[in-house]
Amino acid sequence: MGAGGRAATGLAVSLSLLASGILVERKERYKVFARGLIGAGWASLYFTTYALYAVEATRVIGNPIMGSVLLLVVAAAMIGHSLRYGSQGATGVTYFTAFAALAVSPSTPFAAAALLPLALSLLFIAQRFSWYPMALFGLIATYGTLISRGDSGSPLASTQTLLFFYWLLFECFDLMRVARRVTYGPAVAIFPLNTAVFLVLSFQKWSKAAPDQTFLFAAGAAGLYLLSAMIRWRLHPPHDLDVARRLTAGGYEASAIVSSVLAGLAIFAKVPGVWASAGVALEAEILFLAGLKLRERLLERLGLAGFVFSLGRLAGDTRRTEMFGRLIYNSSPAELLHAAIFYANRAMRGPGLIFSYSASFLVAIVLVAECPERFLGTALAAFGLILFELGLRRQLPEFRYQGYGAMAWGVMAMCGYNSAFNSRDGWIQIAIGIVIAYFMSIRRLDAPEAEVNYIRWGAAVSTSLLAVVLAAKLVPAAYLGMTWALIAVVLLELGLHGMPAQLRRLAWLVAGLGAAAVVVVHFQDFDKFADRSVWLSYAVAGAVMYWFAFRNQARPLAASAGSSLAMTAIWVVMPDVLVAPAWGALALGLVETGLGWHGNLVFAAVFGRVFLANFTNTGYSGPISHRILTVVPLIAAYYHVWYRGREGSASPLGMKLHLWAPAILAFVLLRFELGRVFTVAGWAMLGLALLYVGLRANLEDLKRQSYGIAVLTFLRCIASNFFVPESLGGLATRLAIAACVIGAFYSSQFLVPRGARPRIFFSLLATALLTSVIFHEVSGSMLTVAWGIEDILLLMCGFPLRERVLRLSGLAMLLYCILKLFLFDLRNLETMARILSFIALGIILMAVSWIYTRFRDRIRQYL
Amino acid sequence: MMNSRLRLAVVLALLALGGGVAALGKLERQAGFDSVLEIWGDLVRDADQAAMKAAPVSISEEIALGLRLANALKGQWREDPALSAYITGVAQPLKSFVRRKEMPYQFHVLDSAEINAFALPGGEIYVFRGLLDFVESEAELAAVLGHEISHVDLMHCVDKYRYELSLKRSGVGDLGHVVDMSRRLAVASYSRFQEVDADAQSLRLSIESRYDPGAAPRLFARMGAQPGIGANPRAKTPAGEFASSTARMMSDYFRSHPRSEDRTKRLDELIRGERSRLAGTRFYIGKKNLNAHIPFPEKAFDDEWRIGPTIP
Repeated sequence: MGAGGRAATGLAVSLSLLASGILVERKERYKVFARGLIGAGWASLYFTTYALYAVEATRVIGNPIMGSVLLLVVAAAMIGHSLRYGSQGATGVTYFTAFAALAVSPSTPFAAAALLPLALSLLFIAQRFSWYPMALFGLIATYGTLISRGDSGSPLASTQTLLFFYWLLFECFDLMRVARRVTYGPAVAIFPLNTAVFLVLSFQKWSKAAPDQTFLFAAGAAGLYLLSAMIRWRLHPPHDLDVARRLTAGGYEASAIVSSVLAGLAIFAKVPGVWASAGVALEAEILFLAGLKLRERLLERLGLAGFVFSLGRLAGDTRRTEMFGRLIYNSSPAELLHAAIFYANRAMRGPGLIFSYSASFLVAIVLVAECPERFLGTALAAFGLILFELGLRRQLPEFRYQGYGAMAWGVMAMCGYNSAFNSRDGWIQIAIGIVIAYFMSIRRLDAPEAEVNYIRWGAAVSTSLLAVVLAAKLVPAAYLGMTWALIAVVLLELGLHGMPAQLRRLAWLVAGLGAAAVVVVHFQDFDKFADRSVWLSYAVAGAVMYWFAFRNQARPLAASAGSSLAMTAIWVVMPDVLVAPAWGALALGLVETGLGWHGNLVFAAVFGRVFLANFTNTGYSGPISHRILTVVPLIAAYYHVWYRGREGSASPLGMKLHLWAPAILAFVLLRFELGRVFTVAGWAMLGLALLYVGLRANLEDLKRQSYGIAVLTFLRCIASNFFVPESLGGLATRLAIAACVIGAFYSSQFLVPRGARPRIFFSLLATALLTSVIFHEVSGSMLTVAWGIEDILLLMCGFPLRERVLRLSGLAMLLYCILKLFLFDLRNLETMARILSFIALGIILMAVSWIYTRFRDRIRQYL
Repeated sequence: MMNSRLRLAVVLALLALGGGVAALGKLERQAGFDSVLEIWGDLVRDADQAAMKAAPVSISEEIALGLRLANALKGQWREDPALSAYITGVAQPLKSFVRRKEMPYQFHVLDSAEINAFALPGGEIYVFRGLLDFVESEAELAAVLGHEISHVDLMHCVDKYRYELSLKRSGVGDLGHVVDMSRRLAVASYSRFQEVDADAQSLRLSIESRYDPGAAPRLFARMGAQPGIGANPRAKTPAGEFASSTARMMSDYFRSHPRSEDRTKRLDELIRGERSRLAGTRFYIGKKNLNAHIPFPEKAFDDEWRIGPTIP
């Protein structure tokens, strides 16, 4: 049997089986058996038709197209017959066999094209009977058949056209599904599968056939999906669904996303470098605007995502390119484009704060990247000023805030770059910055009160900070502290005049900074007689602090700091012995200018300093010691301040200080100037003088000082004045000094009014001292005689001068002399002589007793 | 009465004038609490002297005490009889001008390289050989001997044992020892001024004996230049000056001798004060006498005389 016989046999068997089945099917009881026959008949017929061309043993058709057409005819008949049963399964099986036939048929354009009507018919049936699983099966079968046949090397255009039609077929089916609101089952998988396979197969083909032109496909596909999205948007699935449900319902979102991504890919594939970011930005802007127009948040978000993506890509790009004769960062133009877009979006969309902040930030970034460092601070400040003015005039607070930020950034840049990089003209930029900041601090503002307050503070801080930096840039380090202090004065005055008031407090900070800098900068080179910069810095800083005090700014603190600095300056520049007088002059100045309390403090320091340096100093100018030259004027200064305080309302403690300190200084000065022998004479005279003035002016303090000095003088005389070896003058000098002291004491006695106790006090001191002198200078039995003469003289003076204390002391001493004579001086006499002496003593005592009894009243009168 | 402004002007003028005139003189860098210590020393000395008068010690008691202390020293150093005889000769004219002429002074040279000398109550004077090697003239040696003699003459030595001796008479000598120890601590500040007194008295003895009074400050200046005896470094700040002055005051309080620089300065001042009086007086140096160990009273070299005190 030849090939024709075999084919005829096959056809006969197949048709017999099919015909038998159709006949038997009419009887209900053999229905199942009949359908088996039908199935077997169709299968046998389909295979026999396939074998007519494809199997060598039965090949009777040489033309493959004829073979395929026959096969499709059989398949169409088979599908048509299956529809009689209304069974998705049966129709599916028949379609399967049809696809299988194409899969196994030779790979020809015809075979590929044959898939199209097959798929179309399948989709029509699926649509007609709502057999969506079968539609999904058709999609898988179609693309599966295509994939199984592989790339036969056909031209890009034909392949892409074929793929486009496949895609279009299933996309249309999905759109119809969407129109019918089918949102469940296998149908929802059609769109993603169709998209995925279409894009993968297409890109695969493009990458092989025209790899440089893939952007065309991406762009075209983006357009298709954009169209799809628009149609789907028109079909508008219910808006009340959530995103996931909208996606399964076939909303426009998925198409829009795919379209965006494809467009982005097209841009990146076509546009080089940073311009790709610009392209993406434009695409994002389109999406954003579309979202804005259509009130679709997804599109807006897609736009935002596009912006984020493009900016993120720019951030990592540090390449440079030449433009307008200078190198700029590649990213800068794109960033400016973004900024422009953002500002436009801000203008179009009311509350789009993120856009304005992002735009301003981008502009600032470009300024940082492109502006020369020495101009950067000014550029940022100027940009901030523009933003601020815009925000102020348009009542847009966000721009004002951005302006503050830019200006703050600018100030930091001025402080950092312009000073640190030591550019020659950096100071100009800082000066401009000061002008801008100060303008901000005093500008009339129509803004909320709290904000105005913040602005004033910020601008004032910036002004102060930049002024400090400017000084640091222009002034040598040695004079920096004092310059800052002087700046503080300017700030203070502006602040006090309300230009603005915030500067007043900042002036304190700058002044403190200046004072600290003076100390820190000169810490290493600080020394007595150090360089001019040291004492000048301290002096100026001190003067500035005093200025603060005079302007009633934390007066105690400022004055204390001023005194410390000024005193230190004086200490540095003045020789040891001249420090105290200079401090004294400073203290006088403080008292005269109303800083009396601080003047008193400095005077107290002067008092201590005199002991530290002046009394210790042994220098001379000609015959006059430096002690006299420096301490005497200070004594005068103390008395002057006391007198001045007496006229005004000085504190009692201060008054006491200025009345007691000079007396102590004079007392000690005499000790060092006169030496140990002559000191007592000087003290006695000093005490006398103080008593005289105290009595004349009725100053109890001076009187008390004279009493104290008298006691000390007396003790010194008694204790050691008569044994001082330094005296090279000999006996006469000692006696002269003793006479001087005793005379001073008796003079004091007569200065004091009668009846006052000090009169007795001075008299007793003088008498005791006279007695002591006689004791030291006269020895042996002559001592009693000398004392006796002294007693008689006292009595003789006491009566005419009507000084009871003299009379009584003379009498007491006389009595002591008599007792001494008999008990001590006559102890060496013979027994008989001693007896007679005591008899004489008894007689004298009885005589005295008789006289006292006889003239009692008169004696009482005298005593 | 002057008005306030005129008074202020006068005071400021006084300050300026005083400072200006002072600036015309030689300005010294000198800061410290020496003046405070000195005033405090004055007070303590006055009080101490008054109390001392209540505890008199006789010369015989003082001599006995000196001998007892000298016996305790025996065996610690070897005495050089020849040098002892020499310094006894040097001290001979000095003894003529002391106040307590009845004191039996004894002079000893001890064989030790230490540069020192000391005195005991009762007139026992000890000089170390190192000091004899250090002095450059007999006038300097006389200054040292005069200083130690003055300690005895001014009763500084016996003052240290005064309460012990006085209370021993009452049978409570041990208590006196305790009182003396306490007193020494209390008068630590003024014991330095006993040295100053002794220096001043020594200067007087040298002048009266015709030894060059300028030898004493010269000697102390040289001693001050010895390693380890240098002056304190200057403070660089006011606070540092105050702190160092305070620290120095505290250390000086317990210092038995004044600093060499201070002693030199005081002696200079004393000599300057006497310069006009001593202008035409001849004073002896005695370098050759010291080298030959022949005291100036025994032999005077013509080229050792100077007119007026030498001032370093």
